[in-house]
Amino acid sequence: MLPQKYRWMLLLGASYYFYMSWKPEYALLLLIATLTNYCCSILLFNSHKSALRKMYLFIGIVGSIGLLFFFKYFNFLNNSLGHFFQSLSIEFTSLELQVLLPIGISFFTFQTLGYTIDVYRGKRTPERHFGIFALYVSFFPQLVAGPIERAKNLLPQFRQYFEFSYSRAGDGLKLMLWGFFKKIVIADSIAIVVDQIYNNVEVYSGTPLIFATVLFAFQIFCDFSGYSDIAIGAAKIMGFTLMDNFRRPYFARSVVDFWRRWHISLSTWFRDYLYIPLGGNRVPVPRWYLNLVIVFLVAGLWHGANWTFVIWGGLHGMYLVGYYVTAKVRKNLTGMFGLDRFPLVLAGIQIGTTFILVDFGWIFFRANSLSDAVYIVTHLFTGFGNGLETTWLGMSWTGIMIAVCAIVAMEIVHLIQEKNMSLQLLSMRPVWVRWSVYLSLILVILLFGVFERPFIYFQF
Amino acid sequence: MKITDDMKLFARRIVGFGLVLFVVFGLLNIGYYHLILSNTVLERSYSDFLEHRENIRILFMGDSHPKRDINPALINYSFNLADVGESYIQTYHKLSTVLNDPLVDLYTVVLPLDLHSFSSMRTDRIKNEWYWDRFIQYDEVFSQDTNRSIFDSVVWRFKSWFPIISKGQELIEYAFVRRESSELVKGYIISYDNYSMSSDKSIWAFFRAQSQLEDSEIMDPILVEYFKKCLILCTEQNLHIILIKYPISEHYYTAVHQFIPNLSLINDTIETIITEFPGVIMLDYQDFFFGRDDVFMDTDHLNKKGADLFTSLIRNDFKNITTICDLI
Repeated sequence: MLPQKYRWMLLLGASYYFYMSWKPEYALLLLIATLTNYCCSILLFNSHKSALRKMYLFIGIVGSIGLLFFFKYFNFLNNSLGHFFQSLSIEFTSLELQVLLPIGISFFTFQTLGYTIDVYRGKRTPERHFGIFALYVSFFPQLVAGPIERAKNLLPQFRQYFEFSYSRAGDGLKLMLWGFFKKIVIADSIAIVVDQIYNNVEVYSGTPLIFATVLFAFQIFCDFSGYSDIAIGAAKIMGFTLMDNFRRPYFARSVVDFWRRWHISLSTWFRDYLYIPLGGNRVPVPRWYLNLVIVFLVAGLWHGANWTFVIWGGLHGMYLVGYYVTAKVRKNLTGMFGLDRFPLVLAGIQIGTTFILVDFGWIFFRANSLSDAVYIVTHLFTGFGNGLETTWLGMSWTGIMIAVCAIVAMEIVHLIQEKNMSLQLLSMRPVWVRWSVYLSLILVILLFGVFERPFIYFQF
Repeated sequence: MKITDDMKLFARRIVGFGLVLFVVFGLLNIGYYHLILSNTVLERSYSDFLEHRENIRILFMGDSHPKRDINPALINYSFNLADVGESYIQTYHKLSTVLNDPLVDLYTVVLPLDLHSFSSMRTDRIKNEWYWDRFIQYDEVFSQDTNRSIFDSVVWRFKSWFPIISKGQELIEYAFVRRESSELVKGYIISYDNYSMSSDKSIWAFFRAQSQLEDSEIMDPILVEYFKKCLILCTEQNLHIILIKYPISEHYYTAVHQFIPNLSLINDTIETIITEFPGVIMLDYQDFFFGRDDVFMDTDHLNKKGADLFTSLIRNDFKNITTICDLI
């Protein structure tokens, strides 16, 4: 209802209010990241000397990465150095900073970083309107957990004339509803079982560990993609199109395919701003493999200041290297067993193998410590005699069955989407059919939802 | 910006859909109350209490420990009005409501004093808002805790009006599992389970202690404050107060030590509080059934056999208390 020219003010105010409702003083960090990259991008754009341009780029990068390092990695580095020197029997006094990790810092720093690098590469002109730029950095639907937006996609939209569209608003609401279903009904209910087991790993072995690890694969997907759906849906209602962040990742046929479907905004960010600058695949093969591993190690570290995340990233890097190294062997095997004549069987094997590999990686992602992860890996296939007593799972069998049914329902919807039989089929149905479906989904959320759990990716 | 036809259509559809949702959800809620909630232990216990309140002189209050451990059928003029998961905040408000009832004529109130009684885990865990709505003054509770926001208050009220929220599992179990409803005797829940038959008792005890004590403040000041308020309330009404440390299994006692290394902190604080109330009597049965897992239904609640034994025991001990001996 607000005139177009004032729209950015309302959105910027709302975005800062949203961020400040958690810890008001941390809005200053958002402002620092905004100011640094705003100034640096204009200065480097205006300078013609290469050295000066590089200096401004450096300041922009240090401004963003510095914030991230101070709040997220300082203690990690200190503790790691402490352990390292301790193992060499060298005295090292580590300094522990007592600061809370600002919510969404990894997301908005990467967004600003990408923008400044784009300006440096001449891919875009800097945004001169400080308010619009500040809104680009802080746009509330995607501020705290992405998608990590690109300037070329989001910035022009803040200047576009907005006309309310019934179908667009409806689609946004439906997407939000689907996101709430994934988050509240699936992710938060299975989190009870996953937390119970992963927070007390030493009590369990065999089946419960496998069970919790499989459940976690769905928890992390539903939690994160649920947030993305809500963010994209909310933006859609307001007339903005955010980039897709997930495309049914557990239907991936290889780990390479998985990364084309999982956290797309982050994987494409790393591709454009780290993998390609490192040389990508246009380098000798050993260097290419090294590039892959480096990118995934950094991606792992991006997720959290803990060696478990580094290993998770390294593992995915190795998966990718393994994928390319074994390409010929796999092709020969497929031919030898005649699997290419049974595409469904082949797809099933590929999807299943990819899921197992990815799920194995999730052990390191979820484990509370490296020693917990090692315990889980070494006890996955031991002690199968120990049953799944529900008192030990933190949830009754009925609750678990409900969660499993919800997962199956979600995957059926994904299967329909995968086959391109999109949910637009629903839009063509009479109003009473559509309303019944929406009503059922809302009732399922209200009746089976577990409320009051934060999103996992908020911590990153 | 001009109001377009699209906007009008969207508004009409949203309002229409909202109304349909409200009606369907409201009907489900009413059905849930009549089919399930009216038959819960909470509701049945309280109805039973209201029916017999004129003849009750000794009232057992508190959480699942008294609820599972005291069989009032063995003590004359007594009733078990404890509820599972009840904190001192809830006990205080329930007691206030009960004592305001002109038909109630109590002599003695028996409160629990267990290792987890003051754990902050309890402070924010008031469930079954639909039931507690009749006792609790939410505004007063909120004023005690600066961490609570106006949003929490709205959520509480919303949940008390629509208790069906998050209760889908109960509906499914009601429709398909058909569990027998708990057997109640003057508010006491009977259980025939036998903890001694369980495997891995120590792990079970660890999880139980963990759920009650991990990441919690062991002596939450808010609960200490409400405990004192309960004592003051009873003192003002000239009621005798008996505090009971309920029996727990040895496994549970060992597990608790992992979360409360310094048990004397609890005991010292309690001692200090009790000295302010001279007439208060404390009875300690915590280790009374150590090594007797057959009398427990789980790590820290008694089964029927244990409850009968324990109630007989405290009945005898009550006989030595001059102020209430004539009643027993």
